[in-house]
Amino acid sequence: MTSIIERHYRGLAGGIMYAHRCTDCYGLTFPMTTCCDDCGSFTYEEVRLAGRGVLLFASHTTAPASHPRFVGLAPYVLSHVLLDEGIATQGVLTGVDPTPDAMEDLYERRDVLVELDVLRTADLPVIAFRIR
Amino acid sequence: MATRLAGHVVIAGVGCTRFGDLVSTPGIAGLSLQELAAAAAREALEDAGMRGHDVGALYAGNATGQSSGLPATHTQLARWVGLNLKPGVRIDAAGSTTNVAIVMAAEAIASGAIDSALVLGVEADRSRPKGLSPYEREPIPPDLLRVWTDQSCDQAYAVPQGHDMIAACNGIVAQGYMRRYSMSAKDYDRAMFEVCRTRRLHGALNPRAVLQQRLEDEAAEHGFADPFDFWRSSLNPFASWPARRRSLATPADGASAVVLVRGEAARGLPHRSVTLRGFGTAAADVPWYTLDPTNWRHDAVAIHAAFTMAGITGADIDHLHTDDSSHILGIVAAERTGYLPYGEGLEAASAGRLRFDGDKPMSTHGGRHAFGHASSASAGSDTYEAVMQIRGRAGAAQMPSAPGLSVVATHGRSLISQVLVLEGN
Ligand SMILES: [Zn+2]
Repeated sequence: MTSIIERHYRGLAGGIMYAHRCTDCYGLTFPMTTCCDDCGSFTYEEVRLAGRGVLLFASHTTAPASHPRFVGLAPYVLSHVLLDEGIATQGVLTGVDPTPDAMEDLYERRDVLVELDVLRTADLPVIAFRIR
Repeated sequence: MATRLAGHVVIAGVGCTRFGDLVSTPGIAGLSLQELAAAAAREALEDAGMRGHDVGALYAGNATGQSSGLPATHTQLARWVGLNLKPGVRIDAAGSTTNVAIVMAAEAIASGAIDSALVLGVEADRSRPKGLSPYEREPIPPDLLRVWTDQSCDQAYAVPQGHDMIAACNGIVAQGYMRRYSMSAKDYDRAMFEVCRTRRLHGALNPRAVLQQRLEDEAAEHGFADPFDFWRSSLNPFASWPARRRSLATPADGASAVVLVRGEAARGLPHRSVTLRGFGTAAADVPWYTLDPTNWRHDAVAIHAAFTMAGITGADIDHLHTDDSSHILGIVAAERTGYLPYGEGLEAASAGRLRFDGDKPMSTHGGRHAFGHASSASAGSDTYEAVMQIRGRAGAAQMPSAPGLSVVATHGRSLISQVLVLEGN
């Protein structure tokens, strides 16, 4: 058996974001769990997301990192992204300095488009976004 | 159909310790966590004129077993608070723990299963056991506390992928607020200074607060004539732009306790009893918002449930506590209750209206920044303050006119939105 969580990270290792589409109400659940966020149904099919979206907001974190996995990376930028499929999610934003000035510049811009940029940590590929 | 309790349940007694550090804070330094819990419980029991043996059940809260060493909180603490052989349960709803326990205890009392209950929250967010010692303690390294408290948050995806509570609850919410109300970063910064100034004033008036120094005095101590220059200095950096460090919670060790009884049993108390008139609870996991970071749906659900049960609106509230472990989030929640109009919370703070002697008093014990944040005990500290304000016994920060109705809205990561409506009898 492969757990749903493992499917998620294996997908990211190959540059793919998976979601579940409910076979009862067609709602999308991302990241994947055992049932539908919208109606609670346990029946679903796996679908691929485009891995693209619009940046809604981003701010920098602090050091030390909130988790040992990010000790070498903190401080970093955490982004709040609306995926093309209408799902809001959060992940590291790469390619932007984690400074107040850079955050203010980003805040002033509108319609910043982003795409999936998988971050390869020592033990896990994790969701990140880069500006496109 | 609105939820109703089948009977009248009142708060007969409250207790709360100084919030601080068991390693270094005068008055609590050297105590064990068991003794800290017992101090809060004893105060609440004596306040209610009861002994542990008179009480029906113990709801004992603790969120972080790594720092408390009390993973079986109920069974380990029952003997220390006089409830040996009584039924009970350990409860963890993070920062909402004590108030979620108040609701569970009230439901048990209203059902007729018990006549009274002791709710207890005890947390060590500053210190942990030193090695294997059963009584010596040492400071928690800052990087460890976040790993532990993040365990209440999505461990499948969010935490492994870099979820950061400070950015998610502060910087991003702040930007959402600025965008929603077309506020400049400069004006936002000035207003957050005023929010902090008010909370620090309340802390300075409260001998149980973790920070008892006014912001102005701290600025002067660092050589700043203008406290706003201190606010904008490198001594108060951005934790997550545009949110600065002094807009965040201050971790603490602490304990709080509440005694609940069936309504008729409250007759004969030496003080004004307080009725639990309504409550609402809603839970979710990250992310807590979608397009608009100021739109926390679980808050809307919990507030609606509590207000419907109590038959009130925001206009009926005389005194409010919200979870202000992120100061902007505390303002967002206050606006959601209707206590403050949408988009006017920061203006109200700047005008001094949120002070204990203002017309919209909030977080009058100092809130999570100045009173301190001891996760599972924090909600109980808010309830303690609300009860004391209603009784007219809140000390130097007593509202000039004691409130008739107080609302306490808390957050427990990740995320338990809990709202209590409390009314003086
Ligand atoms: Zn569905």
